[in-house]
Amino acid sequence: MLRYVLRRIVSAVLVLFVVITASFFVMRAAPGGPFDGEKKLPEEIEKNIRAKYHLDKPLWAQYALQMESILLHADFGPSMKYPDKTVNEILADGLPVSMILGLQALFFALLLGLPTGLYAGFKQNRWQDYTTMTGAMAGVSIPNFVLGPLLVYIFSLNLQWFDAANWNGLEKGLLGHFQSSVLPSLSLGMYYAAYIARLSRGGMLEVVRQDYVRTARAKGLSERVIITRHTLKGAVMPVVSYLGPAFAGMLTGSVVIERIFNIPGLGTHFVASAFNRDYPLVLGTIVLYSALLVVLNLVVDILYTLLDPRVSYD
Amino acid sequence: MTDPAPTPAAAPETELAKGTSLWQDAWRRLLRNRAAMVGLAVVLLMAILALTFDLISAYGTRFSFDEQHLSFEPKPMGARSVPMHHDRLIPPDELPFATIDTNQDGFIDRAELSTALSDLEFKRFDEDGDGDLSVAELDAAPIPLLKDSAEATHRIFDTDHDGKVTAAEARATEVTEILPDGEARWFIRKHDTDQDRRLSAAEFKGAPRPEVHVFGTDELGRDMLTRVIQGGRVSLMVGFIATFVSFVIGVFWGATAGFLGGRVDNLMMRFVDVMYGLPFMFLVILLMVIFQEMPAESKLYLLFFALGAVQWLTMSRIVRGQVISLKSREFIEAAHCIGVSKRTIILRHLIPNALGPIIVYSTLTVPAVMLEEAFLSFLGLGVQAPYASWGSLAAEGAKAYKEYPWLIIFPGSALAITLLALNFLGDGLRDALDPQVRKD
Repeated sequence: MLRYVLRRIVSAVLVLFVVITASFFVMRAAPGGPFDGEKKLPEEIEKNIRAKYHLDKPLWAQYALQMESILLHADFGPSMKYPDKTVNEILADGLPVSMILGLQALFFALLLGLPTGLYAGFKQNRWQDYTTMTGAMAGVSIPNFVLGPLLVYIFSLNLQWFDAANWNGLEKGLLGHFQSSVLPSLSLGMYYAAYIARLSRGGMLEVVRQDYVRTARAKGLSERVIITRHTLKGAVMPVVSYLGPAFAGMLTGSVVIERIFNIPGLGTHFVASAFNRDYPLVLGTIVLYSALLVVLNLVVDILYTLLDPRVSYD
Repeated sequence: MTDPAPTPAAAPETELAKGTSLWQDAWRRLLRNRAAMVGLAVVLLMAILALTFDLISAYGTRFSFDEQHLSFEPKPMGARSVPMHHDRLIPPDELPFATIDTNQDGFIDRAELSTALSDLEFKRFDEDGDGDLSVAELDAAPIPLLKDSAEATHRIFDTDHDGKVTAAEARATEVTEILPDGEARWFIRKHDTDQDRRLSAAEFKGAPRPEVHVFGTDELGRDMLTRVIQGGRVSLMVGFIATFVSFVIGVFWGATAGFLGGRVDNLMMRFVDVMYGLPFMFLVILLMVIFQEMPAESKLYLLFFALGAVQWLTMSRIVRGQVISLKSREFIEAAHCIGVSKRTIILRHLIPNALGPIIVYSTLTVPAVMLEEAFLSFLGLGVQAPYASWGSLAAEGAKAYKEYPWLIIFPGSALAITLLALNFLGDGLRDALDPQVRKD
């Protein structure tokens, strides 16, 4: 187990290294730079600015400097577009917002997807199964940027239950926060709720055919005990292994959701910084995203071994 | 002994005929799956619409996807504009020459045409047909109000303060928003062959007349129905081509790893594992942002490749798994034993048997890729103007969905319906082709 975790950590570091290197060079290979404004800067000023951000050094020296500051000091340096802020500050502002959005969406996806999927699996080939699975199919087919506006149209413009496109944070209290974050979380989480429902149905189908479930029935256990004690754990295993990809998808999806709902999270910064050629901020967001992803994948895999003793990585 | 019993040699022949029954069987199962058949029908319909787009644009909607009919804001469903490129004869029942030519001098001039166009719009808004736009009708009419309330706007339009907005008043205040005067001037200039600034009956007969925007227009006055069909063409093309790219890379990679086995296999699959850990969509976003200024066509190729590159990993795993599991099956060994050539084994036994899961996964990759393309286009990184995809259309619509809901409803539902159909079809194919995961 320990050896497996160590190996995974090594491979995680490798992935991060590849990501940093790839994004660094792709970014620099692109035409345009951070200081190509509408007006051409005077030569002296531009020279000074370029010197400040080390842009006057050869590419490999810039790369080495960047790597050193990231690896040794976890510092991405100052933003090139917002000179009064460092990248670390911008990320520290955006990360909690994106995390809250993502966690709420994940929570919603599990809350809706798991029970309906398990229930559908248990009622296989009956009308409950067909209805929920048709619903789940619709869920994986409606893009979140269509669902988001639709939900706003219904629930905040017509019914006025929630705020439209305003991120309240916690300043307005917990209720205010939920008023503004329910719709984005639903739009982000719906696809995953539907997918999780499909997965857990499949898991349930697999488990209810096992011999040990038949044995449990044969010795006269009640359906309730059979479900909670014997089938549940096995049935949710496919969902556990999906959590990693789901989280990755939510990170990507949040880029769009944050844009629709005007949420000041990481996704907004990511796209804007790439457009602005704000090299340090692009690198910062992408490294942060990758780190989150890698760590979460690792946690999920370890969780998997703990939950399912048949899986062993040694 | 006149009727000899069938020779034993006939038996293997029937066995052989049954060899193709994997596909016949799957096809029969698919036919019985209603959801999958509806999905197939929808996908075929969308594909036909996409393939015949030029014909539809010329003879159906009569607008081309990039022609603009500028006005202050997007026009709602049912609004009309005069198509620019497609000439047709005027139907005698709507806006005949005699109706427009009010002073009956045998010519249509700008004022007459402008009045006629404006009155046509007025008739649309005047639902009870009493020649008066009531406050309720004004409120329901898809036009911008001059003041916050329909009552206030009604007062402004009602210039003689008799409580009624007549057609003449509507004309004077330009309620009708289609800029009838500008359209009339443009229309006359275009078809005025003898340059006398008016249209004779013969000139008018050869001219096109306003056509309905069934789905309304976008903010540049482009016909949404035409754009949605054109967008579907791009979306479907991206979906299928990128899937094909992922299919080619994935099959090549997975089959090589599976055939060769051993250290090469280990190395190739470890590479896939590392790639799996990458936040791929972010790199694609980065790539598309960076090459934003590339010419539209090469950007489209980049899009195919980038999206295909995201999807090939799973494909290669599936193919490898198939190849490895088939390699050691008894029927392959049996074929070896009776001296079937390697080529025949691959062509007749390996490929047909490995194909099922690959086809199923490819079918399910198409909607996934289309969703990713829509996602990129939504961020402004996918297909470039004047071309559109369902994603880029929905992105435009999402900017002002509160005021102009039709801009997101139509492309959004077209995308959702197609994805739903593809997903149902893919699920049906899986149930039909892969008996192991079939629900019984």
